[in-house]
Amino acid sequence: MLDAAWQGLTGILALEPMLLLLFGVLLGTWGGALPGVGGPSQLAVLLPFAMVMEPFNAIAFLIGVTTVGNTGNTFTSVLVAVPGGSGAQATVLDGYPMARNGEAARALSAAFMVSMLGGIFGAFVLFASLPVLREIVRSFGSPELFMFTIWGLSMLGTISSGAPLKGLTAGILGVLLSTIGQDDKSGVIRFDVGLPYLWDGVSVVLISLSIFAIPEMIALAGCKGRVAEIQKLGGGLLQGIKDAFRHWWLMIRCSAIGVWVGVLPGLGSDVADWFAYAHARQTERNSESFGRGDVRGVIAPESSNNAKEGGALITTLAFGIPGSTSMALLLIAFVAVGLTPGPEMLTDQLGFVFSIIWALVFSQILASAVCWILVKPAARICFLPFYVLVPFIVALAFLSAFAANFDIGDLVALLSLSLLGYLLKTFGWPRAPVVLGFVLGRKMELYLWLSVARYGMEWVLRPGVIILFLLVLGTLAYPMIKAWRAEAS
Amino acid sequence: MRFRPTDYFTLFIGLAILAAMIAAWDWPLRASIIILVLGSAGLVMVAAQLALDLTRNRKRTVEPKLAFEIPSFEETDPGAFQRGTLEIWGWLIGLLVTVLLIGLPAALVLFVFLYMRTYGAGWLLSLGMAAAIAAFEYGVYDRIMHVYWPEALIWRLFE
Repeated sequence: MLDAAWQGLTGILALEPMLLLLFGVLLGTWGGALPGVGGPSQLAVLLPFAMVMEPFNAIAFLIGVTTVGNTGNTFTSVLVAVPGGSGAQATVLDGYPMARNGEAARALSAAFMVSMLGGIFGAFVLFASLPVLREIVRSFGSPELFMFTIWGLSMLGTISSGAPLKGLTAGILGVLLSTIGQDDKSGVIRFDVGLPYLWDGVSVVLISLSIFAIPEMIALAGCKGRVAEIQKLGGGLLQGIKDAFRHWWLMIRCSAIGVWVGVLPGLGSDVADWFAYAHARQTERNSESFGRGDVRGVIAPESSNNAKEGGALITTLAFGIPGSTSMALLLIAFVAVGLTPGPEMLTDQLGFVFSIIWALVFSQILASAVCWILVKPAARICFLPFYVLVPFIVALAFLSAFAANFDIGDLVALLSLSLLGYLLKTFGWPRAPVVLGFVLGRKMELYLWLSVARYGMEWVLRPGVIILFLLVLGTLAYPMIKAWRAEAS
Repeated sequence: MRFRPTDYFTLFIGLAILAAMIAAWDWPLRASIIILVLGSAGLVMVAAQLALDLTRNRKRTVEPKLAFEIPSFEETDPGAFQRGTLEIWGWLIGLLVTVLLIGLPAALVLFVFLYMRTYGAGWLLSLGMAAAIAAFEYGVYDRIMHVYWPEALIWRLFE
C-alpha cells in the first residue's frame, strides 16, 4: 500500500503533471465562478485534449478542472448572491448577508480555508474508508435514496425557523417546479402550457439565478446603492482563517457529511451543501443568527461541497458508477487513457487511485491559494455602485441562463421565474427551500418509482428505510421539541 | 378578518398548487403521484399558514423575523425604492424585447452601455464594461463553446 502511495505521489509531483494540475485548477476555478460555463460544459470542451495525454498528466489535469469548481463558485455566491453551481447554493444564505455587512473578505477567506481543509479531509476519510465503502454503497438502493430525499425535504421545516410552514410549502413548490416537462416513466408532458420549450423541464441553473440572483439585483437597483455600504475590509482575511479553525469541529462534521453524501450516486453532488447547512442550523448553539450573516453558515456548506468530490470520484472510479454528468465524462477520459474503472482499480491500479487522491489534495491547496490571492480585489465588488454591478450581473445571468438550453425560451423562463423569486422575497417567503425542493424533486420522483417498480410495497420494510424514516420523524419533531424546551425554560 | 398583500400571495401559492393537482388528476399515477401527495400536503400547509397569519393580523401587526433568508436592503425611502424597482423591471423586459429584435449578444452589450450611462457612469467606464461583455461573449461563447445564437427578428427584414 505504501509503495502504491509513493508511486502515486511521484507520478503527480513531476513537473508536467503539476503544471497541468495548476492549469486545470485555474480553469476549474474560473469556470466554477461562472454559472453555466463551468462543470460539464467546460469538461466536455476539454475532454478531447485530456484523452491524448499520459495517464498521470490526464489525472492531474482532469482532477484539477473537476474538483475545484466549488471553491471558485464561492466568489459569486458570497459577493452577488449568484450561485456559480449547485454546490454553492447554500453558501448564499449567510455568505451574501456577510458581504452586505461589509464582511465579504472574512466570508471568502473562511470559505476557502474550510474548502481546502474539507477537501483534504474528505480525501483522507475516503481513503480510510475504502475497505468498507463498497458494502455501504451497495446497501443503498432506490428505497433508501428516496428516503434520503424525503429527509432532505423534512429539513426545510427545521431550517426555516420563524416560518416552518412557509419553508415546507416553498419546498413543495420547488418539487412541483421540478416536475415540469416530459415524465420519463410515462411519457406524459407535464405543465408545458403549450410550449415545446418546457418539454425538457427547467434547468437548475435557471432556478438558482431567478430565485436568488435576479431578485437581489432588482432590490439593489431599487435602492440604487451598493451591496455593502460599510467599507470594512481590513482584518477580514485573517479573521476568516481564525473562524475556520475556531469552528473546526463543525468543519469536520460537515466534511464528513460531504464525503458520505457524496458517495451516494445521483444524490450527493447536488445536496451535500444543503445537508451540511441544515445540520449546522440544527446542531449549533445560537442558531438564530443563521441566514443573517453568520460565518458558520458559510463554513458548513463550504466544508462539505469540496469533501464530497472525493466521495463522488471514488464511487465513479472504484465502482464504475458515475454520480453526475461531470463524473460520467471523467470516466470516459480515464478509460481513454488506459485506466479500468471498477473494483480491480483498488487492487491492480492502486497507484493510479493514490495519484487521484494526491491530485485531489494538491488541487484543493492550489485552488484555495489562487482564490486567497483574489479575495481582497474580489471583495471590492461589494462596494461597486449599482449602475456597474446590476447591468454586469444581469448580463452574466442572461448569458448563463441561455447556456442552459441555448434557447430564447431560457430567457423568458428566467424572467418569469425571477418574478416568482421577487414575489417570494417581497412577501417574506424563504426562497432557499424552493431551490432545494427543486433539486430533490426529480430524484425523489425517480427513486420512488424505482422502489415501487422493483420491490412493490415491500420497500417500506427495508431496515435502511426504517432508520431513515425515524430520522425524518426526528428531524420534523426537533424544532417542536426545541421550541417546547425553550418555552419551558 | 383583514387580508393583507402577503395573505393574498399565500392564497396565490395555494391556488397554484391546487391548479397543478387538478391538471395532474387525469395523468397516470406514476406521473402524478408526487404532485398529488405533496400537493395535498402543500394545500394543508397553505391553509394552516393563512389561518395563522389571519389570527396574527388580529392580535398584532409585527411578523416574526424570518430566518433562512437574505435580509432586505434598507428601504429609507419606500417611494423611491418602488420607483427604482419598477424601473429595473422595465429595463429587464426591455432587454428581453431587444434580445428578440437584435439578438442576445448585441442586446446585452447595448443594455450594459445604456444602463450605465443612464444612471451616471462615465463614457469610458460604460464603453469599457460593454466591451468586456462583448469580449466575454466572443471569447467564451463563440470561440470556445461554439454557441449558435438564435436569429434576431431584425435580420428577417433584410431577407
